[in-house]
Amino acid sequence: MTVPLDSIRLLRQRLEEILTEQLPENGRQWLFSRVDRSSTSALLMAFVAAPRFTGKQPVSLSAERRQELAELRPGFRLLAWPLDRVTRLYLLLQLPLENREAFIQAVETLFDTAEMNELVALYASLPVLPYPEAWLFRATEAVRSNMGLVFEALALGNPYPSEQFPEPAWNQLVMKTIFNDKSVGSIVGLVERSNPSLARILVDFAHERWAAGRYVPARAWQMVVPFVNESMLPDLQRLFTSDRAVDRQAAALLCNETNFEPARALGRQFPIEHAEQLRWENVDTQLA
Amino acid sequence: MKFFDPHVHMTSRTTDDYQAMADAGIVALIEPAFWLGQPRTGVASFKDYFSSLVGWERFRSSQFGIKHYCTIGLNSREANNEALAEQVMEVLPLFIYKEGVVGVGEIGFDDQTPAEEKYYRLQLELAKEANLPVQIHTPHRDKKQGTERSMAIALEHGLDPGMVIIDHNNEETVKSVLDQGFWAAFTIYPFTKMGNERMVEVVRQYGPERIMVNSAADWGISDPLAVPKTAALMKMKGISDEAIRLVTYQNALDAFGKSGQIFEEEFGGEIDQSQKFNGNTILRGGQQPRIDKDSLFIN
Repeated sequence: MTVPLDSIRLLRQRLEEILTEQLPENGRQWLFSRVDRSSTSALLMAFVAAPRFTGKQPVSLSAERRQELAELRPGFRLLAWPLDRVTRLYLLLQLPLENREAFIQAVETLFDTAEMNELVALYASLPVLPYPEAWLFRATEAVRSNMGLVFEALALGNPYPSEQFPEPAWNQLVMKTIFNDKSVGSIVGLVERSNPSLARILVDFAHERWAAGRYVPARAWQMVVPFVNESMLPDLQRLFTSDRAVDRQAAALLCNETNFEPARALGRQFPIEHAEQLRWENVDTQLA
Repeated sequence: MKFFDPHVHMTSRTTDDYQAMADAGIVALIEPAFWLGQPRTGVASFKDYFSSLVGWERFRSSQFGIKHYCTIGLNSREANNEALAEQVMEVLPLFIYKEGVVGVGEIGFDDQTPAEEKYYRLQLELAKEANLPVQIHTPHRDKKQGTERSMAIALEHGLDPGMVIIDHNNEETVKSVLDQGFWAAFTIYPFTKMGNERMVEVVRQYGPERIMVNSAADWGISDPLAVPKTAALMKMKGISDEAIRLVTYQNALDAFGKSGQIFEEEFGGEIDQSQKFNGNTILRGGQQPRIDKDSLFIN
């Protein structure tokens, strides 16, 4: 989705209130009196220097504020952001929002020279920047990143990829999350964006892992629900006989939720205790 | 014992070196921006290099529990390409204010040309403005004269000598450096710079105050374990533990700590290459953290 400029301006206003309340005295002085908001290069420099002045205390948000933010931009959360990151987002929103070319060029300059925490701030901010289509290449670069925090900033808890990524890029993001042992369940849009080709890739991947005596995160099977077919029955059987409880639970959930009758029948052969209390959220081993 | 190597070019070293350094007790290091062995032809190469010092290299180091800092600057050799140097000076401010940048460096003289002097002076001003320490490279040729000139110019620009680390000292330069209030760093480097037996004698003669040891290990035949090895030699030769601690750890921390960017409590974090929070990414998929070199099996 494209966030309307009015909502972005309102968000900027809310961030200013939050920062006024929560920045340490010298950080507030620096941000509101010494940072020249009419100069793009001064804003870029301030973006870089922010942690030297703001510290990294996590931002604190009242329930009311969280509600306001959620209404301004569904799916976007500032929860537990350190203050330097909040400040960096605020500074990004001071750039010329209405001038597409200038705005994109300024953000690109930051991407080009960013270190890890700056990349995290940039990727976590994507959902509230204007011109979402302009960041697509950068976003796929985060999926290629070997720096865990950078990958997580884009892939987990962030609505940008599910809204903007074409299917192959989306599938790559999901598989890389699994490959890197990160929480699949934290991907926004995991179920909505599932597709037959991702289901096939996951099954092939599971075969490789099983051959190596390793596992696939149980939560990942949720994506397969709409695509269960004849060829998957041996895989379901294998899950039901796994020595890990979460695998057996995933198999039970799959068989329960699929419309493919032979799989439902298979499920009835492997009754699970407390089956009625099973939830996909609870088989996310990475959250344990 | 734990060690701080305040000058080592990890970009040129392998991941095995990080492992050996961690095993030898190195808990923190500083990687100065330098010359990569051949001249860069465009500003984008500098940008990528500076970015790697605050990005990938820092991350790689963290995987071994070694806290990685850097100094950012335009080195003296490449200052001689003035057209390029101008462009580099434009991007420098975007880098020197980054987290974990603990100084402007390594800068100074190589051939002692007018261009080198020009960019040395400009960068001293930049450091003064940012209130950052300066890490000064002193030349191989005409060293004594070059060192004196570097110090005189720094003083002329109003820098506090307590904010300036003069590097690559030897027996000939150390007295003047200390007498004028600067920090004196010594590089233990095979053949071209100091050997560590000589270093022991320097510490014996001048004491540990404002003296620090580094490896300056780079793409040449050099030794990333020079600091712990020198500490061991000092111990064998009867230098006190406290003096060893000062020259191989504390003095570097005090000097570069003036950047406000070094937090000792962050050193020596638990090494867990499989940790999920920071990603396990120097490890390829399925690779096991650390390698047992005595094992025949490769998993």
